[in-house]
Amino acid sequence: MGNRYIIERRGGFAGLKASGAIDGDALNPDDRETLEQLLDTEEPLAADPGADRYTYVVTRKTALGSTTREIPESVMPAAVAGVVTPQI
Amino acid sequence: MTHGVTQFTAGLNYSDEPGALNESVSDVFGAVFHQWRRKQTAAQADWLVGPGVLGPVALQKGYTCLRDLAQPGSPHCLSPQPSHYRDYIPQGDPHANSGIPNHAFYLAATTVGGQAWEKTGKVWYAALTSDKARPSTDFGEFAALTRAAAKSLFPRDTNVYRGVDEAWTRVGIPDPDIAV
Repeated sequence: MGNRYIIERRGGFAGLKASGAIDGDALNPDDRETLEQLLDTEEPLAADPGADRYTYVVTRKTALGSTTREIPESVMPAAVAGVVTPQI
Repeated sequence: MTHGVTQFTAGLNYSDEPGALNESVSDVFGAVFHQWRRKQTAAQADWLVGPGVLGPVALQKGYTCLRDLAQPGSPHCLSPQPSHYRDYIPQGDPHANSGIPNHAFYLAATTVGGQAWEKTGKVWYAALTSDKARPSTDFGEFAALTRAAAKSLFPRDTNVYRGVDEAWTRVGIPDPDIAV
């Protein structure tokens, strides 16, 4: 079983939630590597300053378990951020 | 735009209750500005946030606004919110919990009456720009600042203080100095 990423977006101007999911194999290798580093880094990922910024809650599911991390929009790969669709 | 005012006055942190207040004052002054442009009284206003920014999908589904200060939990808006402190969402998005202070302003403005920018708006602005407002100011502390501002700005018009005080009490934030 490869990695699968469940993504929830919070915040933004309207405060609307958006969500999506994608398999690791469907990601560009560079984007996948960036996402993996963000999920595994021991460095804290501070929220972006200011109001109405997006935060992405990413859960990586593998055969061994799952990892969840909040990732600010400023460091989120655009292709991964684009996976979500608003819950309207 | 009010986020900029908040940044250089109270500097409310963008998380938890301060974050909800940060969002709320933006909604409040946005609503008041729209009322000012249309020369509406608080009773005439629709108290909706964002009716003009909805996309075609939202409009097709019958949504009419992002948020509603009069009825924060109403399903006609894209983002139903709590309107009472008992329903506060721990670690919730600031846009969610802002419904509580939003509703307090609506209740205060409609109880005080007239045009919201004349009195209630001034009370809220005085609280936001008070030297006692802090980045960590929470709902109770902000409510106290508005109660104090109502008394100091309108000492002879006790309806203003009464409207502000009752509004906060109705959303679940009573004056702690008043014995129950």
